[in-house]
Amino acid sequence: MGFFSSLSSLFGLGKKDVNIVVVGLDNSGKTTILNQLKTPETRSQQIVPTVGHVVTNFSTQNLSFHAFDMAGQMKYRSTWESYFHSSQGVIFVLDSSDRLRMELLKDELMMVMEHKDVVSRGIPIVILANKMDIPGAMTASDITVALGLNLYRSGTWSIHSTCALTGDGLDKAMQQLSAEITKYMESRRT
Amino acid sequence: MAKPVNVNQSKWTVPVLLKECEIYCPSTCVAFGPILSDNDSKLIIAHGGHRGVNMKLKVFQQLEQLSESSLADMPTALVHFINDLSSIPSIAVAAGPSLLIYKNLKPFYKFTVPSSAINPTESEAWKAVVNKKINGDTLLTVLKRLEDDVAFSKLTPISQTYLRADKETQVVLVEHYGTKIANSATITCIAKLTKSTAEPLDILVIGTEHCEIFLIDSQAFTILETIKIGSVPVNICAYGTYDVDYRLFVQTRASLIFCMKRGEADYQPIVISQSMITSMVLVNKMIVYTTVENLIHFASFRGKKMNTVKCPSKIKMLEPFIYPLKQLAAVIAVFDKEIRMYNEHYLLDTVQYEKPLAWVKYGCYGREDSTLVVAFKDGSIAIQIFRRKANFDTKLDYNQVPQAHALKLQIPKKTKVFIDLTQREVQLGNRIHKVYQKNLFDVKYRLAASYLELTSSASATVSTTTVLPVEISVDIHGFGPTFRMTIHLLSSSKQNLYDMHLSIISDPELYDFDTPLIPVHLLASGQSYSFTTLLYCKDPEKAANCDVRALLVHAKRATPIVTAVIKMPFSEFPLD
Repeated sequence: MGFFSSLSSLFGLGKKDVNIVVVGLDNSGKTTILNQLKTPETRSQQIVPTVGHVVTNFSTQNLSFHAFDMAGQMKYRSTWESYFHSSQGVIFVLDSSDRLRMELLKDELMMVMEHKDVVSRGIPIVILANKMDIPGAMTASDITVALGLNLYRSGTWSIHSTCALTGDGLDKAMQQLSAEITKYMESRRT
Repeated sequence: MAKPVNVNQSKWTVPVLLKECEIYCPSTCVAFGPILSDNDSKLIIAHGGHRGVNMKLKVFQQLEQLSESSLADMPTALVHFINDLSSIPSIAVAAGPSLLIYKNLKPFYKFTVPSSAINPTESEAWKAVVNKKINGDTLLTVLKRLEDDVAFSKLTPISQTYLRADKETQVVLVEHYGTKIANSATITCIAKLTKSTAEPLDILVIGTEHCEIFLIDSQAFTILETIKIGSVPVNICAYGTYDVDYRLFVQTRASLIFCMKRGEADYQPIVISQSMITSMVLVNKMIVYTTVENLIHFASFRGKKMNTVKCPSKIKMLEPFIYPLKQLAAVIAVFDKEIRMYNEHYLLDTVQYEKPLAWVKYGCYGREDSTLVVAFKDGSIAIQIFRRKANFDTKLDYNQVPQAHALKLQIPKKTKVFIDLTQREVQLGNRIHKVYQKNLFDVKYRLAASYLELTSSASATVSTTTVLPVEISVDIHGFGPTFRMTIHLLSSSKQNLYDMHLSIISDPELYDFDTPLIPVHLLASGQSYSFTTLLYCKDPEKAANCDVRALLVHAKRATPIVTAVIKMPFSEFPLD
């Protein structure tokens, strides 16, 4: 089995399947980011607010992702946590221009990072500071301070500035996530 | 700055301040709602300005001001309403006798309350003064007489201003407004009522200074209904839908609350308050109102009082709180530097602030449904959001008792002994009482007898009178057979005491005294006196000793004033 899997991965045939959860407040750009990650042919033109959740599939060099695109509106936020236990990574998307809800964001992010299914399994979290193209948006380092992440040492998290409309910064973030998830899967196997 | 205390346990997120804003307005001049095509709920404020200068209609989005437009008249209230399903909602600002309607942040329509009948004498006098038939002074005299005849509040606003104005203003008033006298009443309050659930248009409800309530169709601005009540309405809360069934709860200046139902013509107050009602809201099918005595009353829609909260300080205003996701409902009471949330049974939450508050408004701002906008006295505005994980599980009683008082007494179980004793007490109660009384009498008798013995025998240090409190103490110096005895006296009575003697007595076989009777001429109050005498032990070889008593006596008293008993030491042999 081990021989075949390594052989197949060598040929890039059987990519490993991983589940990730995409969460974040409403209007932060979760669906748009996932849309950007899909191949250009499969992208949809119209993005509407997600209801419940939508599963999006896309792949990087060595991983095949099943992304659970969660709805961000207040009434759906309590459903996020039920998906953590079956996933190998979390993407937290935030709107860097939304200063009004920065405190609420901090609350929600801490609830994700301190959730028992995330902490006990040590799954990687990637924070995407989206909408960096909007004038007056906060930088990734500003957000790190505003969310109190500089004081948060436990867990594996990283923050990236992105623009979902153009796809800027997304590749780097996804590379990091893939690397973290691979590392996480290795540690699980041993 | 605006940080509340105990952030971690707070049900609200940390407040975020709006940028560069300075807002002074009453809580009635604030509303939330989408007013532009982006469907994002905005914060709309009619800023009162300073004495008629700088009156603005301001709209905030996120943390910044989106737009502002000038207002011509002092705003009293503001409401956000839907008058057209196909286009964007509007804003109505009540200013003076008019409603200014704004659509897409532009003036759209002006509705003025219809004029009430003008007193004929008054209108004739104004006509005459405009046509120069009479002069300003005569007009003033006429108006003054009218004021006495029909009351000040029955005159038109222009006459009221004229009566209270100075000479120059009076001339200006006649020039500018003399020709167009109207008796439009000033709008005091405004509310909205949904037309029906199928057709979510709003009906505007306005109350005026002339004790009238108008229901206005917001599409054509026609008056649907006019209701006349006996007192000036100051606050209206609407419930239900206009087409099906509605109720209007009207708080008046005379501290009455009226309830107006659809299709009822007779209005009786449902709440009559002895003290002034300051604020009223509807929460959960309940009327919640506050009075000047720092009380919050919860009453049913019929006016039956269900509960009352006594608050520690003055309540500035009330604001309803509804969180439909968890079916939470409460009333937010605003105090000087804190807000408290109450429901009809418990105190649910307290948030403290470091600055004095002006008002709060709860509703949907931006994209969050449960946002609290907090305005401070200094004009700054902070925004907090109700936390998703917050609940009302920790409840406190209204008037919390200290912990120790709340403890329940540990009442022991009824044992057999307890029951037997109780039985005995029931059956033999009479005898137990008699035995007790007899024993009590015995104790008293013995006490009296031993006291009498003590005073008559003077065998212990005892003061027999309370009128003459004198303290005595005695020192014995020496080893014998010669002793020196020093007696200290201290009087604490108010007057000085005169003509007393210190008498020292003992067994004459054993001791001999130098001066057995010492005259004490004066005992001044608070002064310590000492008297000394020598005493000799007659026969030290006997090795006997006995008590020596020092008595302070007065010639006219049968008993000594104070007595000291001294236990003498055994005497040594003389040194020969």
